[in-house]
Amino acid sequence: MNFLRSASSLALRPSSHILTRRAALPATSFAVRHLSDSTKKTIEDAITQNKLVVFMKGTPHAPQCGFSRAVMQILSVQGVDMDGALKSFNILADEELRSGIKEYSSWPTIPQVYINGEFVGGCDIMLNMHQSGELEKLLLKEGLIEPEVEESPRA
Amino acid sequence: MTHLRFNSTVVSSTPPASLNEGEKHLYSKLFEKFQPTKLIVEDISGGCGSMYQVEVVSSAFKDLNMVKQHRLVNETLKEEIKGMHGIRLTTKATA
Repeated sequence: MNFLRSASSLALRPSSHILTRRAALPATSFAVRHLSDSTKKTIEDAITQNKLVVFMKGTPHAPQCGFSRAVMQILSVQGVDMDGALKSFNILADEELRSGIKEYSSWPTIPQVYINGEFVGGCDIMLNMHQSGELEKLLLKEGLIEPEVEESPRA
Repeated sequence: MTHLRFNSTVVSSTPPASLNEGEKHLYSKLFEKFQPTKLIVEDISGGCGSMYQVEVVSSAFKDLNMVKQHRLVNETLKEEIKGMHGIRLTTKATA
């Protein structure tokens, strides 16, 4: 599984150029066929009550797919509190949520990252934003990471 | 302005002969939809077609953010993606 290795090594190598704008709002208009009201409410409650939500395969400490693992690595490298600030859903444990979130976001793949109620993207977009520096700016803006403080030399 | 003209040349509508059937299928669909100036479709599953790497550079992506660009590709390959484990997607607007 070479792509896993390249994804995680790339994730550790942010570059400096800035790219693209914020992600668009999730399109929910045609998400009516399979998405039940209760699942929709679960999703909406989750993304409005938590600043950072990831719908993933497995759990943050035991991801069950390389794409989900890469997103966890990116967030961890960024300095996100993986036990406090991150709300995650294991879609492998909930078939209705698995299909529901795909419809809700109009996005066909897992993982899916929501920040401050907005769909940000999946693994490729997170990786891209991480490398461009855009992710750090977003996480700082939303208070999900602390600014890096330069340590003053000890006397 | 040879350079500019080269950059805006649409890639061949015929999938490269080196592609397997699954790759050719995705290539043709993406070609038809995006008239891309760069198009790479690679089965990275080892041959079973469960994982693809796709790169599309097209003027259709102009002024769209990355989520919107990816949405266009996801919509085009909607049925195919349902049968995959994953897809790695790179999109860019033609310069």
